[in-house]
Amino acid sequence: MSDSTSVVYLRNSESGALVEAELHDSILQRHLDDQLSKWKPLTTEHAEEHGHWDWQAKWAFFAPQLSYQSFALECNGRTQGLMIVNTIKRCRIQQQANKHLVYVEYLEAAPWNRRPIPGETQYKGVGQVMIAAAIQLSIDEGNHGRIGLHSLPQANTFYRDKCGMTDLGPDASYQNLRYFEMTEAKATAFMQ
Amino acid sequence: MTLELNKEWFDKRIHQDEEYEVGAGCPGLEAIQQTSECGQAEREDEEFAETFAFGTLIRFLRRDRRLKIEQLAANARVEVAELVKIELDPNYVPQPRSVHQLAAYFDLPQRALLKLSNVTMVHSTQLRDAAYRFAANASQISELSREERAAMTEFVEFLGSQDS
Amino acid sequence: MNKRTMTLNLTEREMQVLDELCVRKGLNKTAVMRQALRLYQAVDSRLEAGDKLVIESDKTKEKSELVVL
Repeated sequence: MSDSTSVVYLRNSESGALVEAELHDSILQRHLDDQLSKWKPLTTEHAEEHGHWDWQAKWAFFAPQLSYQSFALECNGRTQGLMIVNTIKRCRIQQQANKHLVYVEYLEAAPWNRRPIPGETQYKGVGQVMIAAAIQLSIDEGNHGRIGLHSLPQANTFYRDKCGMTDLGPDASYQNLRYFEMTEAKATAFMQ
Repeated sequence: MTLELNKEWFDKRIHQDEEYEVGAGCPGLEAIQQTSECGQAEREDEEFAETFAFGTLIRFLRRDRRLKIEQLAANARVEVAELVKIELDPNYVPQPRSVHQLAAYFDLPQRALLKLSNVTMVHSTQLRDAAYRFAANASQISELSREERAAMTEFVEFLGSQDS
Repeated sequence: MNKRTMTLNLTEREMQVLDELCVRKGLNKTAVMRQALRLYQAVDSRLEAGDKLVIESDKTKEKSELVVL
């Protein structure tokens, strides 16, 4: 499993300062361990939608397949976000229909980055970094930044307003989650 | 892949007062089956490791004995369609009878296999951890490698120790 | 990511098809070949496990099995 790291930044929610973080282009065992020991008790406690997710099981299935790639974001010695993407899916927007894109299968931020938790440092920007990573991979793959995903209901605003992705509406085959896709132009704008 | 963005990009993009949820992906598990549809997720994700390990174990044992699905179905007296679902669908909960038949055919511990297949709702952390380790070592290639056979043997031995 | 290099010998017809796919998909030759390998693995793992690859016509909804080696 390859693992390149990139220096990125997150914003400390309390101080407002940008803090150096590491983006890994592969989920490593320590990230899965972190998810299990530090994230899961908090998500289970609050019965969050993400509480259903079991990254260990997902990664055991996805890791051997070339179609999937993964990312993990680390800061302050903790895993702050995880993402698995699929590189063989195709676009739905008419102007780029049937062209390849990077499809975000799963993206999750650590529980303390979703809501304040006493004793845990909250960081802002996990979503922006992960979307930038998906766009960069799409560019590297020759897909010009095209990406797509099904957003959890509470994240629709982020993808529509903050990222500028096109909202293609609820997808009946995906539990009516809204499907969002990013055009090449919007991807270029996002990365500037 | 490396991401080369300067610090100003992050300063511009990430605001202190923003309150965004960013989760994406189907809360269910059907997407894992590469069908591009997540459909109805009826079962908890946590059960996935066990059923995935169960299906993988059956597939490994079948391949190890160089049997086609139809041959195993006939030998173990299990429906072909049921066997295909067991091997391929990590969300599928098999019929208890099929688990018994397969356990008898492969000489596997019945009770541990029933737990693994999620027919019974009794789970243990040890079983789940062992299922993870086994599933993580399972690749998709047709011939069982030495590592896969070792993982399979270790897992079967573990199941034997859990058969109570 | 560590990358390895190989030389690929293709017939003229194969190279022509590769060129056509590159134009149609807006990808370079390496990207098309990598995409092909990913798809081949994804399809093969399902076929190995006993699945069938079925193509459905969008218009008629007619399904036909695609035979893959």
